[in-house]
Amino acid sequence: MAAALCLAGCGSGSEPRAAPQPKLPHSVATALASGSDEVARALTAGDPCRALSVARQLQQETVAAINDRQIPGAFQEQLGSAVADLVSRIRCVPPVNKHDNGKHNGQKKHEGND
Amino acid sequence: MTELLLAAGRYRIERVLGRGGMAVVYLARDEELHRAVAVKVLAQHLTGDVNFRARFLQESRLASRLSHPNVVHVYDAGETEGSPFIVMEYVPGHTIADRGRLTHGEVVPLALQACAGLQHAHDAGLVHRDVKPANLLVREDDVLKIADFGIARAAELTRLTQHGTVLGTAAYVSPEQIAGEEVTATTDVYALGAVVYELLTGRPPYEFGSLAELAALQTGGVITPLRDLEPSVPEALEAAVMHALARDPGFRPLSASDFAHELAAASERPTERLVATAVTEPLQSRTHRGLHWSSTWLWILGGAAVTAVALILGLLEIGGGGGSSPRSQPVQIQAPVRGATPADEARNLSAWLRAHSK
Repeated sequence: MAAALCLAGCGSGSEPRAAPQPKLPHSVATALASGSDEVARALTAGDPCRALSVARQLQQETVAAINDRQIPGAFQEQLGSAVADLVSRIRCVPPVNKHDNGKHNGQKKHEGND
Repeated sequence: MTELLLAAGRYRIERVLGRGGMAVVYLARDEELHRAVAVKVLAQHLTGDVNFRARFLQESRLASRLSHPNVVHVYDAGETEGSPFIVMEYVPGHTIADRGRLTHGEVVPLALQACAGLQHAHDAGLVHRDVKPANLLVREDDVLKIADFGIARAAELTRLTQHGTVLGTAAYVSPEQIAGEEVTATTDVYALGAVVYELLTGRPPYEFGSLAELAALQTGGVITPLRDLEPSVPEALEAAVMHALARDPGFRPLSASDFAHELAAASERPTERLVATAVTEPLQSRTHRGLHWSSTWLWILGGAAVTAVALILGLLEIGGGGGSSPRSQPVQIQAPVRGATPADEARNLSAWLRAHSK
């Protein structure tokens, strides 16, 4: 193998990282905090279904922000976990036919929606 | 044979494991830690784009943050003579595609592991975007590991996916990806649903001859009900898979863990037992067969959430083989305080966000 990959001296990516205290971009942090406040308000007002809806939206926005690299790495796990936990703790007892709608939507795939 | 070395001689290349459109994967020996590793070197024809090379490494480093028994661990990444490479956990075994058509009793445990790995990544904010049989590695002891987190995104950002997608891969690409729309966690759920469908039936959800034909089928075509092709599949399992394959992401299971619960319920395996397995097995055994619900169960388990997360993630790092990686840990940020009630937790999260804002 003449063109051998004798790749000595290359960077390995394992160099030590500096550890300055990172911060969240103000606009992103404010937007997510507002969503979280809204979740709290909905729960306090006794509307857990709305709270769950807002929390799921918050989760989507969080994931989108992480994917867009707006969230520094040091925050990603903590923020993602906290939002996921918040969503998992909210219990919505839906109107009787609300859950059924979702089921039907899924089942319709058999009928040609896909 | 001429010796092949990477990273100042740290990785000794032994043989080619596989070649794809984007990269060549080698089996190598980590001379420093004395272990086998897989090294993925970006294909030569893709190294000309400086931005892509940078993204390739950046995404790989993001992926290196994942530590889960069902995710191939990224140990290291670097660049040499203009060729980026990633050093990963070596998974002896085969891809799930090599298993061929499987019974539902064989498929569900593997799919549950895939769900667990995906959920972990999604919790960390990473969407795979290219879940397909070739990226689902299965060890001989039936432990499944998802490979190539981050790579698809790097390719996507440079439009390489569109140009480089081969038809065999496109079968698992979601409608929103084909349409160039937003990709979310449910994109991976769709792809995994397509893989499960194929494993059970021997054919992908849509059969097509071109990407244009696939796009048309995804818009107006019909997926043959799973049980029409494989009548032995339980109805509930068919419903779960078809649910994952919904064209509209909003009609799919909301998360990989939701899909796992549907699969588990369909297989008549008690979900609670699977979750319990997930909690204990990674800490007690090297045979990671169960579900691992990532950070969510850590919260459920922990009274002192911050301590628990730090401790258990540390243990998983060791269990997953990443503990011996030379990579330094990122700056540790204290997690938001878990409230006594969800409302308290929401308020704490809000305060935490504002406190860490610039």
